[in-house]
Amino acid sequence: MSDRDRGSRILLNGALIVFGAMSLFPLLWMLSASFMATGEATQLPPSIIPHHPTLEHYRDLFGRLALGRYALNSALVAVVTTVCALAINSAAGYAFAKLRFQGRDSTFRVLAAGLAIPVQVAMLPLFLLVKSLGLVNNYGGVIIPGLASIFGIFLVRQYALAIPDDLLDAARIDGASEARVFWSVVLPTIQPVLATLALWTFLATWNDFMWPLIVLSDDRKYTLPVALAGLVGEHAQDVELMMAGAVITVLPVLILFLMLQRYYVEGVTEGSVK
Amino acid sequence: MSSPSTVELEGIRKEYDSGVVAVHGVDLSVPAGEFIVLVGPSGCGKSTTLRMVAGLEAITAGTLKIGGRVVNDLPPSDRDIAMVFQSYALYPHMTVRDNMAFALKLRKRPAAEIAEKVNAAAGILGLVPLLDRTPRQLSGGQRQRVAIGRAIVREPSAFLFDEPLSNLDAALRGEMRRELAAIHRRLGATMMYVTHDQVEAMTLGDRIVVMHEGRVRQVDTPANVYNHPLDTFVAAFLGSPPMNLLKGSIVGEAGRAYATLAEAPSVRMELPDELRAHVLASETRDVIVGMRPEHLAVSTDDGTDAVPATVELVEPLGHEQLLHLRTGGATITVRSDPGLRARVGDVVRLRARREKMQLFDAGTGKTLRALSS
Repeated sequence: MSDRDRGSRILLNGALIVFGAMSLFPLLWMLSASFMATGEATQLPPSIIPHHPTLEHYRDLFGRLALGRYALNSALVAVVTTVCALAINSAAGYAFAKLRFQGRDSTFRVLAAGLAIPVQVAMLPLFLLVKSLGLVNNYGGVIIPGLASIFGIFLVRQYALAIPDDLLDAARIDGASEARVFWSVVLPTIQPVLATLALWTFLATWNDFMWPLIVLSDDRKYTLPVALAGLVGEHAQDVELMMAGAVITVLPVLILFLMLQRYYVEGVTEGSVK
Repeated sequence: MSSPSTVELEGIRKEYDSGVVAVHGVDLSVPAGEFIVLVGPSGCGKSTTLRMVAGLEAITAGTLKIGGRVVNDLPPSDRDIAMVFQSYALYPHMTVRDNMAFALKLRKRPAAEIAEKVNAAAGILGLVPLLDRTPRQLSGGQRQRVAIGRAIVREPSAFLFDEPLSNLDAALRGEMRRELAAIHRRLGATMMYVTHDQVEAMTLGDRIVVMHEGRVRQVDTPANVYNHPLDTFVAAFLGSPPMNLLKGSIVGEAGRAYATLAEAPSVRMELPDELRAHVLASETRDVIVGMRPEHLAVSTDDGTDAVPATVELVEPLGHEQLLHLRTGGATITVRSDPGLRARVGDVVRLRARREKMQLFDAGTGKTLRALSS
């Protein structure tokens, strides 16, 4: 390796470290601040590391403020939405990519055009729909609109287009029904995009604030972001408590991401067909 | 095990919604245990025909019978056929063992039977050490072996092959070709094989089906198709280098008949007896004269029975050499002994082994044999 190569590598890695640290710092400080005693985070200059680490904010959140219940609500909504959305979007995306039926491409074009409509524009009509279905203040009203997403269908379809037709035909000749082809051949082949879709759906549902706020009126049914937003009003000054709440919100998503990360690795179909 | 079955195609036709006709009514009867090869240039309808037999393409018209049973409307899984694809189409997330066992598992066969059949097929194909690998960890030749093994464990009524060797390099292709022939001998199975490679067609087929533009041009043994092509398309398609096809005419004269080439009208070649029978006395007719490169000889002597030609290109191939000659407006290829010294620009004399001559009608391209029989 020449000196010049070495120099550019040091420069590149140095830049990566700096940018990495800049991105990580707020997250780490959030974690750190959640363990600080009340008021410590707002001192000037603010502390980086808690002087006397304490779990009192977490005790407060789960004890006095009963955040555990809201975390469970959120988990219920996010898990049910993610599992159902995976089933629906993967089946629809695969059908649009690989099955032959009347009006397939024109239907898909209409759907794709729908991607251009901002979520906020759809909210009012969606709320009226949910209301007329009697799903206001009901988890069904929170979950159902998130099940089939155009983006999810689009994502799966683009990925499934790359599945060789021969692979599906081989399974059909081997005696697999269409459902079996989907289950035993298509789903394992599109695993990376399913991981992406799962993460994306879980993240969007877990973090969603607006829609649960609109649909749910009973505060015992609130999801975590809605409940936390309620705390901001009462405890705006208590930065450390808010940070502990933020940690609880971010943690499940982070864990899920780390779990699914390896499925991002492409190349699952490599070797099946030349 | 299901025994090898007949496959019968009666007027099988494929027309797409767009109105494009890919296959115009194919009639073909494949006896049980035959290795039949469908060959033709790309777009000739051979793969579409095979996919209709497999059930992967709907049949527009006609009747398809496998083992005497009409299967037009049965899904692929109910036709008792196995298929090997050009792209191998192995399940990427399954091991070699699971790839081969998949069809049997779907049929809910007992585990012991599945293991036995997979091991037997793996033994035939030399796959035993690879059973726990995934397709990604295999070479191209090994992958194609797995694809063949997946078909063998099924013990189907008929095997279908869609250009199975086209993705392999030349050396491996030769090896797999011999292996496939051995497997056919061993299993005695009915096999339908699609290829654009004439060497595969000639070496593997008990009979070959030459297709062109969605139509069957000739069905016969490799030797008959090579030696007695029914039309100029078949004559030009099989053989490398291809048969020389030259404009000419035939003249019947009181019990004898001659052919002349348009480029050398003074040279009269007397027709062999079997061809003379097709020429009427005192008839003159335009024909296309077909001569294989190996049925022509060049020399440097003079003679009224030889066509003068100029050497345009010499291609030495080691065991033989190909001479490309020009006479008038026509180019003729001759296979010659590598010892023959010929240089570009030399003028040589060309003689044909007249008993090997093929004659085709100038208008229809059909062989004269077919016209009168």
